[in-house]
Amino acid sequence: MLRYILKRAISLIISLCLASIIIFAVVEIAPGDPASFMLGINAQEDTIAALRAELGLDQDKLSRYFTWVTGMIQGDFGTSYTYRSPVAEMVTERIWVSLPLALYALLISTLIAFPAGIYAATQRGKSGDLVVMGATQFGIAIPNFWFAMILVVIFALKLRWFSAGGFVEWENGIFKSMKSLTLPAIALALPQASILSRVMRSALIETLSEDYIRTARAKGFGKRAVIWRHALRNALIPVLTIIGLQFSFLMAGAIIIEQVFFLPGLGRLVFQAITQRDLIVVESVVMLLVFAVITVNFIVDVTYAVADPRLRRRV
Amino acid sequence: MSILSVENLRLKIGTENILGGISFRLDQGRILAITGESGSGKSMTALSVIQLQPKNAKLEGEIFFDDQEITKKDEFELCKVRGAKIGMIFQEPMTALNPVKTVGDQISETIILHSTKNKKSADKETLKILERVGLSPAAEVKKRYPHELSGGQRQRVVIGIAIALKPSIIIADEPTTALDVTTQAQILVLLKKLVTEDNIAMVLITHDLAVVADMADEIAVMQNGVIVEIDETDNLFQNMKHQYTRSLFAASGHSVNLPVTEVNSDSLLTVNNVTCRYRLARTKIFSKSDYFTAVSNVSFDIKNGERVGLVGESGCGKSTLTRAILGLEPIYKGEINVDNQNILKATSRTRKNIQVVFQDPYGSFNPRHKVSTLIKEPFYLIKDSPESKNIESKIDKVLEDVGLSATDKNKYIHEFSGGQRQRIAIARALIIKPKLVIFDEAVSALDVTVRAQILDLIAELAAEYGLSYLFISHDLSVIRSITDRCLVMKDGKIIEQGSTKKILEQPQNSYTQTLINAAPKLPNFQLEL
Repeated sequence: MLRYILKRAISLIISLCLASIIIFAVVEIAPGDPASFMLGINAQEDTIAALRAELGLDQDKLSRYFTWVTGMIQGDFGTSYTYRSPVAEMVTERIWVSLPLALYALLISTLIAFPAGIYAATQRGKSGDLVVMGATQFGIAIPNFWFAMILVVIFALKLRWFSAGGFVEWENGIFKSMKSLTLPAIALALPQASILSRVMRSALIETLSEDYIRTARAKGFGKRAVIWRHALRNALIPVLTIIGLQFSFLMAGAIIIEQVFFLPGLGRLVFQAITQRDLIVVESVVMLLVFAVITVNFIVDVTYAVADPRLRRRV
Repeated sequence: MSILSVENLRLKIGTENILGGISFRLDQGRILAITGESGSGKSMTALSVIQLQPKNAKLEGEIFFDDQEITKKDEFELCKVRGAKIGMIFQEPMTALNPVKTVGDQISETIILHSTKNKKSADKETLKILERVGLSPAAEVKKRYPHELSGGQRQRVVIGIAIALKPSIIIADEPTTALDVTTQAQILVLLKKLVTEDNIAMVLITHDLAVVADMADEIAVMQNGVIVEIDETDNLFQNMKHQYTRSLFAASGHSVNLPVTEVNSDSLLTVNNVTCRYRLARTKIFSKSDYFTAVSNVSFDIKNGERVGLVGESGCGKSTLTRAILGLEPIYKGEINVDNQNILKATSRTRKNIQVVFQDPYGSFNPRHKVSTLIKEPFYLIKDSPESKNIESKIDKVLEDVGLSATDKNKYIHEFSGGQRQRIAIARALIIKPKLVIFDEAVSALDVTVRAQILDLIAELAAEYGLSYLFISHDLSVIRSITDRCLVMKDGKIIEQGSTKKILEQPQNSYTQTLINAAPKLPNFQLEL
């Protein structure tokens, strides 16, 4: 087990190194010079050169790459070209919105998907299954920004339970902040829950047809006990995979929902940075997201091994 | 008084009649064998007794267990009977155990479920059970996961689960079919010992008539969902009343008329000091990899006209060797020549001379192709040669040669039975007139009557096409009937080779002797066909 974790950890580090090189290279290749972009088309040659020197753009690529990487390891992500403030600060501020939002949405999605998927699997072919499957079909088909607006109309404008947008800072109390994230989290969770419950259902149905389920039934376990004792853990691997993918998506993919609810999240930051050609911000945020995705995959890998002893020995 | 009595059991799935009125009785401490070919309804009978038949099945008739009507019980009452009073053993030990739970837990949970014992005393009990089924407590089997055990060990665990609560009946559905012959012998001895010790009645379901003869007090022969004959074992062997019973036993002891062919001295296949190995997982991250040698320094040759058998148990390396001969496996040392050309460098012209028939008639065809497309595929090896002309008439001819009709070429593979598919596989191998055919467990998945027909067909075609072949099998009776010479393989090495007759009658190697002794044998019986 330890060896398995160590192996996965090594591959995590290698992935991170590769990712940093690729991100750096892609941003370098992209046309357009940040300095001339910032100063506008009428800028003088020497002003541009001065700004380039100030931003460190005149150094050679290799040393810039190493400055960037070593900086990141020490928590220094550089200074934003446009905002003239440290990227680390900007990102930290945003991550306190995006990370809780992603976790919140994932929690809601899992809380809906597990019971729904398990219920549908046990009712396979019956009306209960059809209802759940129909509902998930809807959940996948409905665009989440539209669903978000409906949520706003009902719960913010009509019922006035929640505010229509904006984020209440954490200093004002966890409950208030969480409340302001509730509608966006529900909007984000809907399609995720739909997909996840479908995966849960099909994984469970497949597991329930396995021979060892028949063995368990022959031992005298009832249908329900068989699901809890034998089927669920075996059905978990595909479900964990999807949860991992969904978390990665939720971290950065919430951009539209962030716009709808005026949330200062990572998605919006990247979007603004790209339009303003603020390469340092783009690089850093993308790297951070890659780090998050790879770490989540690492955690998923480790939970695989917890769920399935056969994986622990595999190298 | 009978512990189990089944009265006029009928089972329907959709409009299809699976069981058409089954009746039998079983007394305490006796073994009833239910035998028959696949699809005869044996397994469905077993599942019905514990009321685990498929959901969409409609069941009629009565099943009395311990004087209680099983079919009238509700799910809650049934759960108290299953596992506690009726133990069940299934065929496939590889999949019958939950892969994510230790085997100890899988036994002890049965005990906890049906008794008031706590985890600790159930664990103690589990150790005793493991010892009873021949798994020594010293090996800490209790804490292992199923994938860490061999097939035979897993089946012992499954048996342990079945006997854990000293049930009145055990239903064993093909308990040894997936096992090697030596393991099978051990498991059968164990089963017999346990049911005698605990005075358990057993329903033994198996297609293997030799196993039936060895184990059962009474035999029921099933065909198309009905019991065509049921009698005490000795009586049945002395006097088989039903025609189907006779044909079944005749097919089981079937001997093939293998035509004598001329063997000339040209070597068709030479295997020269071949070693194949696999890289194993590293034990430490930076240590060197170990290798597992699957085939170790094997040499033999097959001459033109020879029919050679290769016998061995699972894991002996026969599959790796087969793949190496077909050029599908890297060879670590040594070389394999087909028609005097190294197989790994052979041109498609040479490769056409070696064709193969696989074990699984269901998995080895592309379901989206018509039979004609499937059969003519080998011609792609020699696209531009004159032999590739008149393919259509060749397809017709070969289909008729294997006992099908020319019109079958327009059908798809799902329209055929297992035996017919194997005929198509043979047609595919023969159409290009290869010099050597490899039969890789080609009859192992077939029922006994179909197996007899396919073996006859191979013998017939051997004469007609002047075939040389390598027949790989774990089944000595097949090897006996279809080969002139045979090789016995164990742990990657050929440990004995010589004429088939001599090896089977006077084996020199102790392993070969074990193998021959372990194979269950049909008693002598009189047949009036």
